[in-house]
Amino acid sequence: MTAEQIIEEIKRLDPKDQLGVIRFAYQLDAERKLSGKELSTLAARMTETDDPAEAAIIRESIVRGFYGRQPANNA
Amino acid sequence: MPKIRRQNLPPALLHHLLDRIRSREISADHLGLFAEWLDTEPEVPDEKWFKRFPAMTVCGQGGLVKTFLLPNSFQAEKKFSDLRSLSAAPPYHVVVSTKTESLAKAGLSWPRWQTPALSPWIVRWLLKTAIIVERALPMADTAKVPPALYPVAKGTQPPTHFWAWAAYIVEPAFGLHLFPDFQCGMEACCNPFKCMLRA
Repeated sequence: MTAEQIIEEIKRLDPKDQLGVIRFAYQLDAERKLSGKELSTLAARMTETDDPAEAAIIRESIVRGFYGRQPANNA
Repeated sequence: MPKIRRQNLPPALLHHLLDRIRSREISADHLGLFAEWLDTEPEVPDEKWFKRFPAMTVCGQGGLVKTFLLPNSFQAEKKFSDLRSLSAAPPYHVVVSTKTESLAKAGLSWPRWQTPALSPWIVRWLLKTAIIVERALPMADTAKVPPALYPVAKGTQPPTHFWAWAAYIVEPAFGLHLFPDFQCGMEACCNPFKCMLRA
């Protein structure tokens, strides 16, 4: 099954089930291992911002994206 | 042979790398290059090993990444006494570094400021200087310039396997002049030594 077919199936779901899919997609995005290019882009954003709070948030995203799922195992 | 993965990198080392990226000592791209290399799950020797990237060297032992050496971290380099053994083969990295504050005064950020057009000049000049130092101090603890590189120093062969990282040309019309008091080092060719060249 292709990604396009899955998306078409999701579109046919009722709103309640779609909500479950959306939650899952967010969770997947938060836990997945980022590609090298994505990590570089985030690192570049971290160097460009003057806001320490934003830099800290980006840094956290980089660490999470570097290790992917279960970052606690690496702490 | 052990394999290394992203999970083999201790978080403290990742934070160290991010600190260096944040302070612009190395480019943000290197995080991606490093991650992509780890994604290939490279096999590494059981003993100490080194992997060179354009602006940093990753040092490890077995399946663990131990530290990152940056172009200006010559002190750290000494801890890995056999690092030079890797340097027998190209690519060679020629590093012309200075104290970060000097670069900042000159309005430059490390390592973004590069002089690709002048790289061959820098490489030749450093090689020649290294050979002179080596011949002047034959008993000194300096790494030797491989004879294969002599033609490069003479200018009869182009320095195709060298990357020059940063330099500050005081006055381009005068040819190559390095900032007085630049600390120059050539991984593979000689120990760091002070360059006191003046226009």
